[in-house]
Amino acid sequence: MNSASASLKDALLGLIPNLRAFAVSLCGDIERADDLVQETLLKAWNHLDSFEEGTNLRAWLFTILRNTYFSECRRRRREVEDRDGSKAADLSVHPEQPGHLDMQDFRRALDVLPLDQREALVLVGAAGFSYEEAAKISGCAVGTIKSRVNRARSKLTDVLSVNAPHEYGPDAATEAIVARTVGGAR
Amino acid sequence: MAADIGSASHIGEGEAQAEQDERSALRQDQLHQGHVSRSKSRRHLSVVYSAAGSQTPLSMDRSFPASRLAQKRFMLDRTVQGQIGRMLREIFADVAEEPVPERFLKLLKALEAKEEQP
Repeated sequence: MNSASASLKDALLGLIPNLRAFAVSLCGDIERADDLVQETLLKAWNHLDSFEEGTNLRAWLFTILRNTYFSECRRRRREVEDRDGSKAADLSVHPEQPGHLDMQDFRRALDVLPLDQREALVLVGAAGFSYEEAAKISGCAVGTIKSRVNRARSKLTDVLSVNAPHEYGPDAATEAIVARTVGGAR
Repeated sequence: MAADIGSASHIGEGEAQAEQDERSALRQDQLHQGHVSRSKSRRHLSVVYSAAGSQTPLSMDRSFPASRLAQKRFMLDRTVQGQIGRMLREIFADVAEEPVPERFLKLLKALEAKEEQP
């Protein structure tokens, strides 16, 4: 028997689009994302009584979603992170339009970031959570979130600089390549 | 305080790897901000600015680098970071501004109805 208030249930409904956006950023396609949101909603509904009204519902839902996703990944023994960055290294070679900063390039760059970095970057840079909130959602220290965000931004900067040498200048492009080959980015 | 629902956990991340990545990331950040200067030391800061003749507010910022190349990189990095932020928010908003799909409306209605059954 679910005694949670009607307004809480309305709030839940209102947060579905946000959850979908977060889910897509984690798993990469909208269909899997919606399945993930479905599972999240079921769990949330069944645990609504344990949610303390007045606290951060959005953060609570995001936590359920990412925990569900991460444990599903482990269950499927899927490669969760591109740890050696080899996918990211290939990325900069084929921009859609050389010399033009392209949204497609950015999306692709985002998709090949290691999962924990992409999660941190999206929580802080897109979903608007504070570092502290993001740390709670991800179950790690604030310092860990900060370092993941820095690494993510650093990798994206490299990719964007190499893809758009005319916009950013040859210095940046050269530096990005040097940084990658001399063992800066991993 | 967000409750921890679902399987307990975070993704196991080797501490050694994380530390190494963090040091390398910090070096990258320092390079971008021009703190790892290839030429001028901070002692020459005022000389560089008066020779250039310009006193923009930015030059008063203690973190603004001394060498011209480092300055270029600093400004470039700020521009790029701004663009990264905008693109991230645009990608997120693309989905977040869509209406709630029918499937979830149905789900919530069904859950609500189930509750009301004796």
